[in-house]
Amino acid sequence: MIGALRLRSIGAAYGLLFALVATAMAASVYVVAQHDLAGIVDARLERQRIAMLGPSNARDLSSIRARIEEREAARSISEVGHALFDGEGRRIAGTVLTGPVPDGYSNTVFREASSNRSEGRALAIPLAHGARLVIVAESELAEDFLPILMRMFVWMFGFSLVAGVVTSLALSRAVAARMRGMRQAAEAIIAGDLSKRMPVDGSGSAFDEQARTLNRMLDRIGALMANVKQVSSDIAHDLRTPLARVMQLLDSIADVSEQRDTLDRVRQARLECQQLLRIFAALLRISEIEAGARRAEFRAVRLDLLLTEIVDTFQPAIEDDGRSIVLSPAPSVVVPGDRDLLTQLMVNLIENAARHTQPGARITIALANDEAGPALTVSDDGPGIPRARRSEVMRRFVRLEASRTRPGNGLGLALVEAIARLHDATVTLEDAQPGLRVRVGFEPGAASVDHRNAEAFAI
Amino acid sequence: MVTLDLLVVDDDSALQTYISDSAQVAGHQVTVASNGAEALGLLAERRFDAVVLDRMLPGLDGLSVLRQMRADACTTPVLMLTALGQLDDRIEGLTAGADDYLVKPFAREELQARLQAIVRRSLPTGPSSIVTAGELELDLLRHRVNRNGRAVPLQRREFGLLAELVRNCDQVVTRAMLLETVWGYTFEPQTNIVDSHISRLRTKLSIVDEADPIVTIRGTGYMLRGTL
Repeated sequence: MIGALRLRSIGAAYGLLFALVATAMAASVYVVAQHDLAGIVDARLERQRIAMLGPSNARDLSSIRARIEEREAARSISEVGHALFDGEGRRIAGTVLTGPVPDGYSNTVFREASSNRSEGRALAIPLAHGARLVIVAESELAEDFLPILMRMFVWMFGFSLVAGVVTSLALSRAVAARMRGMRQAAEAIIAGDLSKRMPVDGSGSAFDEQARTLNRMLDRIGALMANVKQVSSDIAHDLRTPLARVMQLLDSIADVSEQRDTLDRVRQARLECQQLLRIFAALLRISEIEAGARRAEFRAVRLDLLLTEIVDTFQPAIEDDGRSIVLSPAPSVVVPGDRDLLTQLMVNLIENAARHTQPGARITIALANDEAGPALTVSDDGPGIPRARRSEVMRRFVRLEASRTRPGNGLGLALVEAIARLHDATVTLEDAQPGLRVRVGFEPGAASVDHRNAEAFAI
Repeated sequence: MVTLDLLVVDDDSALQTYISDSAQVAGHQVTVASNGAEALGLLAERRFDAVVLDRMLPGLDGLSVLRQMRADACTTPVLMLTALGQLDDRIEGLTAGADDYLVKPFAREELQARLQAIVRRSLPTGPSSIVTAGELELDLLRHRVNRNGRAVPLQRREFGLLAELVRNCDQVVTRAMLLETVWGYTFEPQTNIVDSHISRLRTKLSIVDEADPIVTIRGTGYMLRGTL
């Protein structure tokens, strides 16, 4: 919405800018035209001055007066008018009436005795002893031409305003459409779909070039990611065999040793090996899940029944541990999924909740199905995770300071996220006020599976 | 504990030694084959109680050996070993006819317990849905349990646990085995869900003065005693 508004105002701004530029151009044309037209009239006035006064303004008043009278008698149309004043300001020749005019060239409005007022240029020349000669010429051309120019300018302004708005709106809409495509691709990539690429329409435009470059960058990132994953699962895989040998050797030491002290240490060493194996198993599990092959095994899973079973299974152990676990009344929800993996997801979340809370804590499991889609939540009333650290804990091997002393390998949530992603679900950490709520939200359309089929698979 | 006549098929000499040593400690007799062809030859010659078969073998791989065995109508129980431990491999192995599937590396107690269990399962059983172990009598169809004629009400998982222990009476059942058979979990939760359920089962089975029929095998699992 805001984007559309901004778009419209950008269109309006560009339209206005267009129109302003057109106006500035028109104004400069107007000024230049006016100036040049005035120049033409001024040249005529200058010729008239020379005719009246001679090249050096040297004539005396009476001969000027004679010339004026001669001129006025000779001409029929009032192209040029004259007024000659003596030292006291009294008119001594000429019929033209003007307002006060400064010395030199100026614009003026004048009137001959018989005709209407018209616009023109005046040339006032001071003479000896305070006398003054004023010559006036009509600027007919300018008078006719400038209003036409003005009307043209008004139309130009209107057209360029409309054209500016329309073209800039069309342009920004086209740009916005391309940007939207790119943004959607980027969002999908942020959400974890590394196979997504920027849209390319083959037009060879600058946008296409940009998209192609970004896609090459994404290809490279994808290859690096795949490499890192491959390396870590290879390491996990290859380290298992020597580790197995170590465990076998420990067993053989235990076989021949009678000393309690030695046996204890062997047992301790074995436990450490087992912990390592568990990490490798989790890493391999994550890469197996990320490979996505399990999707082919998806069946309809009744989430509510799955939760009931898991809570029944974990309740005794959680209670023995001094905490409580409850399942809120859950609607019947079916999603396509891998039952084993969804079970593991829930188990990891429940174990996390138990591990990061004090005895006495209460763990609440809930299932909802609304417009946002089916969602599983595991909430606790423990210390929670500060908002700023929430994205951090989803990464592999990350453990916040508060939990470093507790058992765990930092792979639990990474595994949860891998399983969720396989199911097109998103994991979000929320504030349960107090405590942490982990929400696994499925796609809104996920729950549209036939229920009768699901029952059979769920049990 | 039943002593078994085992065939171990593995090309890894360290693992061969580990398996034979631990099998011999338990009193079993062990024959070793290093490849698939050799194993099939031995199986054609004589009968074994069980086969430990590595999935990855040079030449004919474990899955092919297993398929060939079943095609030859050889019903000897097979415990398949794998280094992969991935879900799909497990399903593939069980579909090919393996009786159980064990991911390397494993503790020898795990190997022991699983071998005993698959051998026990392969023995012919009567058509009855009633099984007994000492003072306990289980009706597998109706999910009912009696101890000395007294009905013991159990929840579904508790019954499943007891049934699995009774089926393997006097043999060790590991936690991983119970997780797989009772819960269908192919992963090991960090929480001791088995222990907590067993402790509730124990409380329900024994009233005052009665002996506890379930023995905890430290670090491994549980065993139900047939005689108290």
